[in-house]
Amino acid sequence: MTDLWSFLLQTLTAAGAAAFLLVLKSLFRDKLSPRWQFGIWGLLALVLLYPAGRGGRYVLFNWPLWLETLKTALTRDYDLIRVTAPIPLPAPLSGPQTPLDVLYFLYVAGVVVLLAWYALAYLRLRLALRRGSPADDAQLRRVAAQYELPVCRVVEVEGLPTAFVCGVFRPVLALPAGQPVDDKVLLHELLHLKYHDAAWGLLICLFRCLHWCNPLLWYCADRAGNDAEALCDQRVLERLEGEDRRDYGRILLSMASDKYARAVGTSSMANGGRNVRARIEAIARFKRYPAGMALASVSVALVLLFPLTLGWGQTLAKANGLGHSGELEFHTAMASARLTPCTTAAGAFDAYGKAVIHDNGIYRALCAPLSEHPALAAQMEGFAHGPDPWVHEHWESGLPGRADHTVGYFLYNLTQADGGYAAVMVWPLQMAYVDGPDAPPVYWSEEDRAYAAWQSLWAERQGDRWVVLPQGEFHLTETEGDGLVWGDDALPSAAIYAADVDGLRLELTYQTVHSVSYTFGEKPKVNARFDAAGESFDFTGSETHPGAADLVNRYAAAPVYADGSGPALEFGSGQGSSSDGTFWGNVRDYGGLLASGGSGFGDDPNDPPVWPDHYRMVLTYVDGREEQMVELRPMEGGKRA
Amino acid sequence: MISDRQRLYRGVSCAAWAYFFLYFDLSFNGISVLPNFVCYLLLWQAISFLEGEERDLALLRPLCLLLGVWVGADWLFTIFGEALDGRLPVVDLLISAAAIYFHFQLFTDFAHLAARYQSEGMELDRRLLRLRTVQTVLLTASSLLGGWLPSGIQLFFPGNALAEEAVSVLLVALALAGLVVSLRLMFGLFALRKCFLPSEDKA
Repeated sequence: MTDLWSFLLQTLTAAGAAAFLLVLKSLFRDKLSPRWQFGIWGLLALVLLYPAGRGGRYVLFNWPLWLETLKTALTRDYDLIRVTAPIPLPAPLSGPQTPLDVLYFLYVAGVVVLLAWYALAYLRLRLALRRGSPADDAQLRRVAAQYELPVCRVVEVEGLPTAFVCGVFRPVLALPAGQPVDDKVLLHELLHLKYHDAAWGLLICLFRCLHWCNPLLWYCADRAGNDAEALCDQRVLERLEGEDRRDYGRILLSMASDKYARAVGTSSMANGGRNVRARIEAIARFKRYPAGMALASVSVALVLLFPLTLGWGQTLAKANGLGHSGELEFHTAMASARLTPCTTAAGAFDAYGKAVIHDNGIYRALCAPLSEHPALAAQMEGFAHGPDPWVHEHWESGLPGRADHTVGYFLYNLTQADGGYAAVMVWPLQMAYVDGPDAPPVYWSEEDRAYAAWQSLWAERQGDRWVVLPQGEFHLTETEGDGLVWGDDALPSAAIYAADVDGLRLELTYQTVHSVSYTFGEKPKVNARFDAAGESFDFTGSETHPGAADLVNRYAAAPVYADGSGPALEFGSGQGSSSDGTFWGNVRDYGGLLASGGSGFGDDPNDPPVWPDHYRMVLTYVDGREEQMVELRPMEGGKRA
Repeated sequence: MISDRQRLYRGVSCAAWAYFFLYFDLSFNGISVLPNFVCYLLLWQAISFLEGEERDLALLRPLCLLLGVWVGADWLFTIFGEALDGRLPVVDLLISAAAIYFHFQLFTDFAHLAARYQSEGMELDRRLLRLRTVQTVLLTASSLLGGWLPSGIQLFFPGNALAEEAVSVLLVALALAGLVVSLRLMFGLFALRKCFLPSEDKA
């Protein structure tokens, strides 16, 4: 915790979990054993120890979203609230700059003061115990031997109301001087010793200090302390029989009117009248806990484990139809976009693709670096409050046309490098701004072809989120084919493989297309995986020496990968291609050196894309020459566009 | 006045039919005609009949009420074309925990009844306890997988199969296993009911 917001996130997250546990405990108060009643606080301890809001996740209540929204509304700060550790970390040395910094400073000062107060109280207690006289431990050793429990140093101290164990590492059992102590009281204290209850008390005390201004957590700390005592009672009763059990109840009853001053690092049988009464009620229920409840207890705890520790992932809040003046909705949507990281590169590309299609700045914020959020928000607010009041999520990507909402987008030539992904995103257009946005849009080209826009993108991981960084402007192009799912000559290629042989220029244009399933109107899928990937090629052989092509009889080609692997060359019948990337043809029967084809790409569309290193091609001739083997190598630069 | 045995017979009958309503669903136009809340009404009745014989059953009344109100509200939402499930995840979580305990304890109590009233060598109590344990494990596993893994935790298995696909397969397997166990539990309750029949009816 480094500022007031991170403290608020941590303490409110814990308070939500605490409130839930209190409701649950009241539901199971007379149904599950003291072991469960105390053990279930372990879940709250995990919530308190785990930094809240990691990856936008939230525990039961969406505090990260509410606090992010509030922070932005109050301070116009678009950075994420981050809890780096569940303890307060030093504030900047320059001192408090804002009222919020002052409040955080007060909080940290409170933690330090309370820790010091507890430490002093503990030191005073240890000094008092030092002044005590060593007690005869024969009775203690007898009780410990009878119940096979560990022992510790025993001292007698004047004026103590009851026995207690003090200390975690070198525990001391303090007994009231000059008063007989019942075996059952010693048994109770020895059980505290065995189960290290003083250490649990110390941990609870630490949480009190860290959340000193959260009354609900203080109440829970009290309840946890009392549950520890009730559990110890349960353990005592499990070791006693018949009349001894009733005696134990009477001893507790005798403490019911005692006042109890809580001391850190100690465990005592007496813990205040009201608490003792609750423990006596628990003892009355002792026989009623049905046998074999361990499974139900563990099952209930397991069902709660993930939601209370890992929490739930964010889903994008309302990001459409935010209106013109709904500041709160806008801040909530932006906060939601900050908190909903794209967990995959495919998810980030999907968010960007849909941001462009829908002119939606909230979608763009999903996949934009956090550092760009203030500018993005300013742009959207400018549109919302400008002369042409747009809806609050309106964003202008610069797309030279209107994207075809029914088709979506395609991701061409995806490749992995330096921990990120480069790709070309392609949007089929319903209409294109061929002569700029102010000129009338064009639906079809003069050749009756459809238009598409493309842009080079780079996706990389920044912290726990994938972001997309545009690598240049949009480009407008007339598409060659009917669909773009199997590649298009008019769009950039992944690579062009080429060779010159016997008066021929051989060129193979290679493209890959990845896609995430697209449904009209669907929100971005931040955890998306690629649903499909395909590769396609277009091969042409042109003459650099007139008549050279006429001498070729048949040809066959196969891709070769960097590790030397690849399918075997084969002459299939006629002209064709195979799903492994090989293709073949008969020049004389099929009108020249022309081939094209496509197939699925790789075993899994989410595998890192691997393009061929080169193509091997064999040519046979009609003039009796021996067949020629050539390698088509990537052209310098690798891309035609 | 009905005799103790008749009361036990009626109580266990209510419970057996309650589970029929819980495990079977018949819908017309998306509205259940065997709604789950009837299960909890019948179980409430069963507890009234049986709590004199099995004291722990009375502890289940608040949970029975809670679960009944929740599934009743869900049924009402369904009538109006809405779904309550998933709207209040915190309450869903509370209900999941309560349901696991409720059914576990209920069958534990029925097993105690069976131990006292079954014929010699019948071992119905052991069968009920065994099935109860399996049902609890299945319910817990379903809650863990169905409720929480798909909500953002990314797990990738060998071959890059998506975690959610694996979870879906597991959930179907758990649901099938749960159906078998549930049917056997229901038949177990009908078998327990026979223990309270007068001897001439048994014949």
